[in-house]
Amino acid sequence: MKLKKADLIARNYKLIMMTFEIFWILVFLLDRVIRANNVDIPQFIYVNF
Amino acid sequence: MMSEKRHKKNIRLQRLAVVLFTISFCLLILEAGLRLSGRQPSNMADGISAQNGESFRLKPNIKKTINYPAFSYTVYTDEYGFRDSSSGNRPLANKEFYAFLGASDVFGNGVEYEDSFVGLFSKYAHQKGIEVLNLAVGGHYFLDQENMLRDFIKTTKLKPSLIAFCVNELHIPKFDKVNNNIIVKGGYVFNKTSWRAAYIRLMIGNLSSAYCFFRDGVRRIQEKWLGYELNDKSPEFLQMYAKKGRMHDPGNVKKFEEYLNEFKNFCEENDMKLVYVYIPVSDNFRLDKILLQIGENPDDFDSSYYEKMMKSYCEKENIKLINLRPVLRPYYDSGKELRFKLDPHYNVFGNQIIGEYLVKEMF
Repeated sequence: MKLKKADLIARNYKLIMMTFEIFWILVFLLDRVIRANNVDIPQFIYVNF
Repeated sequence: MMSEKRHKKNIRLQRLAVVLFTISFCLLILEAGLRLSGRQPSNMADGISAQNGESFRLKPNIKKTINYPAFSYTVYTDEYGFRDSSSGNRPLANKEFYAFLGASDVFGNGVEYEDSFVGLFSKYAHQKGIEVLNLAVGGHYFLDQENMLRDFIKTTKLKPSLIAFCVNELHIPKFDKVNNNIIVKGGYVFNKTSWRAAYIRLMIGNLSSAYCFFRDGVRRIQEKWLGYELNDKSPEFLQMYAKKGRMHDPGNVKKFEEYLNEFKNFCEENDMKLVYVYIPVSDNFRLDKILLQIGENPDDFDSSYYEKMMKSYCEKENIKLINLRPVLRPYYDSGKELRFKLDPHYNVFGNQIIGEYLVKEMF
């Protein structure tokens, strides 16, 4: 079973690395967007509409 | 031929599984990282609301700690479901008491009861033998508050000797609205017609920092790059000050004054002294700055309109108005922080200024 998993990872190594990289690039970009100096227009949301 | 097709399908499924597994693994790392860096899920508060007919109110006798990124505080409610310094019975018979009406700013969103302006006022009133009830609920309109007051008087046969009706520019334009399509689930308030999806989103937001991270990122992208116009979908904050807003229509001003007159008559009939308290939204003072930043013309907006409106009405009807705008303005101009950084409600300092001024004006 262990061998099968290792084999699976080895065969899809490129795909795993690509998914991993895309995920963290996306996280990095979203983080930049969230932290960017936007104009802070007050929002008044007290109920979950 | 068939076997080759099946083999290709297996490989595709295998790849999909690998991608999903990798994403799940990354999400776990992200979740742990966000929590370790202090970015907890945003909706960690236990719901504090209870169904009240078609509307909502606070649950009676609760103690709930609310944790938002902007602030943490504890809410206690008394036997009537009004915010207080502790939960439990509230003997009011044969006692003089005042009642505050309003929304989240009067409720004291973000601050402990003792630090809220109603709490500070209450502390002083106690020394004079007067109890103070805080009927305010975040998200309530004037009519919701009036209904709560009428219910209270009807069910308890008790009447406050004074009503402090707190008004602001956020709620004056909605003077004729009432919450009437509400469903409360798990202590949270939703629109009855579309609560399921919102409830699921809220529950996921309660559990996952990674979800909140992606949600906030997507919202910022929508906000920043998908644009908005000054129409019904534009931020409420701008709409309420716009000179083309509904309260600049003389017909609506007349209707508003008729509503205020009806409430005044109700107070007179019940021997309750009525005082209006105008507390501007904290960002009232930086409206021009915001407008210039987003390329709007400040001449199309008026941040003092509602103050003038309340002054004019109260002078005409000979009702006491406590106007906090000129009181708070100098603090803003001198660079003092009156609000939370991540939330427009008044912080402890802002509440202190308001509370002390109310004491000075009312005693």
